[in-house]
Amino acid sequence: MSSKAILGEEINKETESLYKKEKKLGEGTYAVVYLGHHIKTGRKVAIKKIKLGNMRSGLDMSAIREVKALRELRHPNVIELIDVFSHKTSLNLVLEFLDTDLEIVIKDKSLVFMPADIKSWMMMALRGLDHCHRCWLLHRDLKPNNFLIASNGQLKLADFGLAREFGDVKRAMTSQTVTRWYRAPELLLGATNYTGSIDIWAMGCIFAELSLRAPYLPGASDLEQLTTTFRARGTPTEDEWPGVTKLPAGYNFERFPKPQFSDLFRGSSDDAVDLMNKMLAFNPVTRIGASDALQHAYFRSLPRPTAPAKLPRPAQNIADVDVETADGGKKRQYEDAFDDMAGNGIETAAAARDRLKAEPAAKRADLRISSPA
Amino acid sequence: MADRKPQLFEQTSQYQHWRFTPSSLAKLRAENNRLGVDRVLLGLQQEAQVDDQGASDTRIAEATDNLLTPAEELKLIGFYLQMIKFCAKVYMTSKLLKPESLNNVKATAINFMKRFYLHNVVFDYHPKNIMLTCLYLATKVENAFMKIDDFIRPLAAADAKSGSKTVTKSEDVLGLEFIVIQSLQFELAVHHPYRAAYGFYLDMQQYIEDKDRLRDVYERTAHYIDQSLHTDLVFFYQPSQIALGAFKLAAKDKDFDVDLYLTQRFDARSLELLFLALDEIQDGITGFAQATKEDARLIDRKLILCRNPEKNPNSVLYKKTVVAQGDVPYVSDSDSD
Repeated sequence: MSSKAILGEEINKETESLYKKEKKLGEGTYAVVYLGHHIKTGRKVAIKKIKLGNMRSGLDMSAIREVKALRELRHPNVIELIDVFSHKTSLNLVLEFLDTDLEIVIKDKSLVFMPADIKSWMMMALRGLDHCHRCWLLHRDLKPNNFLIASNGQLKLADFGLAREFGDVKRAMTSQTVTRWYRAPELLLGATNYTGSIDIWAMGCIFAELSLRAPYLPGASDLEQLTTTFRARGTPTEDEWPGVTKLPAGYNFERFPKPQFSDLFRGSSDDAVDLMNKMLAFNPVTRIGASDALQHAYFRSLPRPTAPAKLPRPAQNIADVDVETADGGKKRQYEDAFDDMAGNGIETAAAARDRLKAEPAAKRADLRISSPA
Repeated sequence: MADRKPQLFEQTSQYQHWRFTPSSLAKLRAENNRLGVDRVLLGLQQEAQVDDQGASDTRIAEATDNLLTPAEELKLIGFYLQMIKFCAKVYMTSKLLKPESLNNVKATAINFMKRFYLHNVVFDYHPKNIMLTCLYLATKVENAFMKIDDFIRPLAAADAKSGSKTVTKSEDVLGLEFIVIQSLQFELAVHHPYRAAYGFYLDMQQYIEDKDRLRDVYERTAHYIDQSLHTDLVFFYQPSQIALGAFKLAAKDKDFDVDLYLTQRFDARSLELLFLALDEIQDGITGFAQATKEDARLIDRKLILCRNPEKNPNSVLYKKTVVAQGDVPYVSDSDSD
């Protein structure tokens, strides 16, 4: 807003003239994303062009929600909306350019995750989310591919097309929100009044997914999602979630017993499983909040979270990822040396990863790692 | 206190980009008006060159005699700001707008329109049209979306009933959507005093014994908050400060004392500053004067003569240049939603 122009149209033109579009990166139903750059500084940007030609009622709600939310948020773990301009019939969001996303990383079977890596992603994700909640904003669509990853490894919360403010108990909100596999039980039961706890549930699912390398609660349909959830987490009792058995629609669910979570998440520490359980608590009132989650023992105990720049990431060219080393083991393409905390005897994630890569697969079974499912 | 975390409100676009002092605001409006006048005169001169009917000299003379001052612009805008609440009530009556959304939609629409005219002048865009676009945009921003056809229906019906020559169409509203949103610098989140007032009401219950009378006072604050929306206070003070100012006025009406709460809640130094601000806010709210229909009619009559022909679809210049170049503003025409 350092612009000298007063007129809205002139300010808009000035903004537009700052950027140059290059090539198309991708196309969705309502937007096209271009690679571009800031002409003066050369900074790489992504320009999300939202087409409005076929919107009967003008600017659509997801464009409004995204612009409204991102204009207010400034945080290292939230995607930066650098500028916005309109051009004839399109709305253009100038966003920071980010290389990849967490879903691609999870699905890349050539990558090995260490507990310290998962901790690092969880910490960044929760910091971004905590900032949103502090600003009284719900994301309402957390899932791995909405966490983008910068070239320096920073995880950034993105896609605010369903985001909205919360906290006004008098105003009902839709329960038809959040991608099914990450949808909290209270939403599945039709809650129209909810809080940041719905985002935390989704974060808990992502936490589990990072450990399992597969979606944790993959319900086949909206109807089955509750069953899938209850089967995995045990059907909630009245003690666990006061009031749940007295819902107007009745409570006729199969009673699944609570499984041993430590069996499923064998690669995870007790602290990790404890935090995951707190994030996936059925009762939204007692479910842990983002800022309390960040204070959890999990983030204070060893191993320390991997430095963002050292996190595993897909190589541009898969063929170049692994370079044969002289001793027959494989070495990662990027440099891990910084991660070694020399002298304190703690094996860092990066060092351990190298060791694992070098060891035969059979020997790995007892190690606390999460490997591709 | 230098290293304190920034307050939440201080991170908002409202705090960062839409805050003024009375003199900086007046200066901006005067400059905006001056540039607007220049554009009107330039447009008329350009029109004289393409106009083959030869009436342009009279038109320029008439426009020059009738140019609106910043104060006249404000009065005309003010009149249409007052219309927003009537329109919003119509949608509420027809169940298109939920009662619990009314305050936010109304207040956001009013705020959008006030912000819009910091970056535009009435010579270019008539407040009657901008008002509708701001209101429609506000329904979306405040999660109270309705389809454009539903939005237009009562407006078109009212036009037909009053025997107006033109009937409001969806293009009239949507065609200005980008013009409005770019003038808002795409900053759509607006904070109002209503929620702050509710927060104070909850907090006061810990300090004030007489809950029934406190509720009376709280209910009365809405009246003063409504009134505050029409003033420039939103550009000078934070929503919570305006809410407290409204509380004090409401308390006076009900012969109640909220200062007792304030003295318990704030230390002496903050109170000193707070009371100063609250006095100004109360003066601002009570000093608000409605723009009458007669005011608006007189100003509007002048405005007909001094509109910028470049932006006026009925002008000779517009027909000969803008339309001819095919550069007509965005109009939504598809059926899909």
